[in-house]
Amino acid sequence: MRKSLHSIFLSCLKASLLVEKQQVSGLNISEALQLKAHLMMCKRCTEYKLQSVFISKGIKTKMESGGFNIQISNVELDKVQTKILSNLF
Amino acid sequence: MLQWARSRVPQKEIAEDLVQDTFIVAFEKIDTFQERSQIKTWLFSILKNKISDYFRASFKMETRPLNDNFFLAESDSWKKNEFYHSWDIGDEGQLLDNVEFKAVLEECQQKLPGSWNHAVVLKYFSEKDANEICKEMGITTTNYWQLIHRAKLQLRKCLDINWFKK
Repeated sequence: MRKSLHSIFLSCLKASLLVEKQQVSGLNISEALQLKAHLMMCKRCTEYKLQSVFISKGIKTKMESGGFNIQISNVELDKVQTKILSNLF
Repeated sequence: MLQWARSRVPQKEIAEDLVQDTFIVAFEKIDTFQERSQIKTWLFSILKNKISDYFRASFKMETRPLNDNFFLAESDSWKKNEFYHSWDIGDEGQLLDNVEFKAVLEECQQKLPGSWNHAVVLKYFSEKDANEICKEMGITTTNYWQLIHRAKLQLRKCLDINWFKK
């Protein structure tokens, strides 16, 4: 019974994968319908989707605000430069 | 170049090694450098290849079964303990800008295997589309969602424990 339900309504593993695919590249019509049907019935995957979208936003905001801007000090730069030069010659 | 590599590769030491390798390759292949292109462009293209090679190798090492303990093996449904109650997010914009929250999120990301974090981060890095990212990482698009999926599952757990339950 469970198996046949899954083939129509997706398993939670598949559904949560589609949630990610949707955010990355979008879904085709049948995937979108399947996911919608699954989410209507499944509280856990609905929660997953909300939280997944939230995490994406969090990462995006963090990066836009310069959280990922790596500052390299001159001292560090000199060290790497010396290391590279000494290995080259 | 170092800054560029560091923003893509998780560990500092590996980024430095890759930049160093770039110079070694450039040094050996200086004959093949065509004056038509700029030296900077040429060096960056070597570095880019080095980074792709690095990720390709690390993906091979990190290939694990998908399940990752979040789902029941027999039915692919969530395990009982993998249910997270709604997060009390409050004002979303405010939380996303919260410095402490950002720090916790960053910490959670650092705990991921390097290539997973790379997959998650690249998407926002330079407005690249999925196909381009996959090409750079040497993986298929299906692998790419799977990677993001796994990363998200871990991040969710980590945030739940370290932020929302506190």
